[in-house]
Amino acid sequence: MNRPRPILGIGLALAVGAFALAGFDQFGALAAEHEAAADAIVASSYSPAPKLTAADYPTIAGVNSRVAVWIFAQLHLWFAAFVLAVPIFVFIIEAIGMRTRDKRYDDMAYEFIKVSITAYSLTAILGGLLLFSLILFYPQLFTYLSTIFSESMFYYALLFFAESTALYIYYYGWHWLQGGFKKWVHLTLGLVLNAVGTTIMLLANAWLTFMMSPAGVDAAGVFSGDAWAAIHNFLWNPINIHRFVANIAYGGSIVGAYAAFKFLTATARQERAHYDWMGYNANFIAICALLPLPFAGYYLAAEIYAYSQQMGITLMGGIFAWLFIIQAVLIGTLFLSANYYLWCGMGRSDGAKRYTKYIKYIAIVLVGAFLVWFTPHTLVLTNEELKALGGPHHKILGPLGIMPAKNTAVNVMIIFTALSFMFYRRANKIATVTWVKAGNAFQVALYTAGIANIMFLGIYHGYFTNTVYKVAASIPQVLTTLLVIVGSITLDSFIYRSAKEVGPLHWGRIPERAQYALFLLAVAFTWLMGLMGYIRSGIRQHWHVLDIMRDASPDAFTPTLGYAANVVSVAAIIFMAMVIFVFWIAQVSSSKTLPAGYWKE
Amino acid sequence: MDTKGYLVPFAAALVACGAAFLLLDMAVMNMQGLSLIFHK
Repeated sequence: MNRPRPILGIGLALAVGAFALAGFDQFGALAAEHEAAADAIVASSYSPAPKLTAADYPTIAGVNSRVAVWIFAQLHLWFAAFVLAVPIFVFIIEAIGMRTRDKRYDDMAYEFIKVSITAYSLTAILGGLLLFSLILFYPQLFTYLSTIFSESMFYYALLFFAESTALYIYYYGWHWLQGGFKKWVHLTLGLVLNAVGTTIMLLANAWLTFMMSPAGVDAAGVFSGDAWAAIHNFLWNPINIHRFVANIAYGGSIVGAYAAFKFLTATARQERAHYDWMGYNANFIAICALLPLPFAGYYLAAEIYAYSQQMGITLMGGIFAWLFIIQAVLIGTLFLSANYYLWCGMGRSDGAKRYTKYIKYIAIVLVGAFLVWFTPHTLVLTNEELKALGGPHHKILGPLGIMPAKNTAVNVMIIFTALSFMFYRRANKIATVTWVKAGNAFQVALYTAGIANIMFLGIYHGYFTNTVYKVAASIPQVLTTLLVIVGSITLDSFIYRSAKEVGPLHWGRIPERAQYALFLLAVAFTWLMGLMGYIRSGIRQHWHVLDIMRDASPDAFTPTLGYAANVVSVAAIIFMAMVIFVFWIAQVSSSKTLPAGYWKE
Repeated sequence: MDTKGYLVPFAAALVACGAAFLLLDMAVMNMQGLSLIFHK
């Protein structure tokens, strides 16, 4: 029997108590002001952003404030991404179960949400720790931000209660709200849970993007009183889109790791089959969100450039450029591991032999594109090496270091990942339509023309035009990729309509190494989010709020990449340990011990 | 190779898809105030 976890209540109390301790009782006062005073009077009641000195940053027990806030924020964000994403695809899986009346979907959705329940408590605790550490270590910054975002912070706390309520009824009422109208009520609760969770994310995104692209304030940081202007700042929507998509991919990868863990520890054949199926679905979710993710990231980076060229250049052309090489390696790892899992999974079908001969070619293309993606533009060289090379750029590999080459590579990787998925989908089917040859010919032509177009745009506009054309050509590249994927999947669904099955799918017939690909996916995602999150925050450099509130703490400098990577890696290890704890708790909660002779008969 | 059943549809589809992608490129570049072919 599952019981409500008191730890969540403690986490909530910590967060709300922290609000009260910090003296944010100005919510009521602000509301009164809004009603009573004219806009001009309200505007004049705000102070400029404070000019800080090192004395404004308390030192507590010798703790490095930047590292403390950094690690708490990162851990909170990883868990928050997970618990916000899981209900999204749980909702979708539950709806699929209702439509198909296949109870396996309902059971799987329940198991996914069960994993996220413990993670939810940890998210709340880490949120409380982050809040306390911000108040203690950066009191002036927190006071300034809470003046501007007082209303949204208040609603954030209220929404947190609403989310907890919806989540608890959704989870604990799962078996109660079954069948007919009750099931619809349950699904609606899932929708409410997602709406509240997404709103919470949007509010928190506004606070962090305000620090990068402040709005609703003047040059001195005096708040105009327009809270919406501060929320709806320049980078708010790009971050919203990027995080929403990334969270789903990340949530998919973490539950995929859970399924892999359960698969490897399962002893019964039926149990292995169940967790194999669960792992496949988790990987499918992760891939679906992974495919548009580079585009969302590119859009965010382009908007950062558009807002501040200095921030943009620092991002990919300055000190953080080499972290993008690590990013490329990690994203390549994500694509390779997701594809590898699909290829291994084809072994579940006896009909997969027809397609396995093509896998080596997909692998060659993926590795080739991966190598192009992480080829650096400018090498870190000694003087002797520079002289030997004749400059900082390699004559042959140097051209692969610029963005058009990367864009071409990532689009090709995405198309070939979609191709892997299509082969997987076809593996157990035999088409029965009369026009199957013509349909296949059209699909091959669509892929060929699409790839040719991506190469043309990448090579011609990337190397024989100017910067404006280079950037502009990335949009038709993206659209080509999307058209190829959507077009081929649509056509495939017509070709394989009323198709025969080769035989029953053998769930559980997958090598154990495929499960390690799922672990790799989760670890690579985690590390990637940590490193890229550091970059996003770090490009503000010595500003708390860009160009408005300067960081005067002893840590107001950009650390070396090695140091930053170490901090993120330590945080990732802590997170993974906590995730293992979550998996273990989920396992323990379904274990029973029969203490013979212990209880009175 | 089955010329009629495969090659002919492939060739026709390749021409059609190629033309469609070029039209898409032109339209998107035009929307950004640029032409498909670069002029200094």
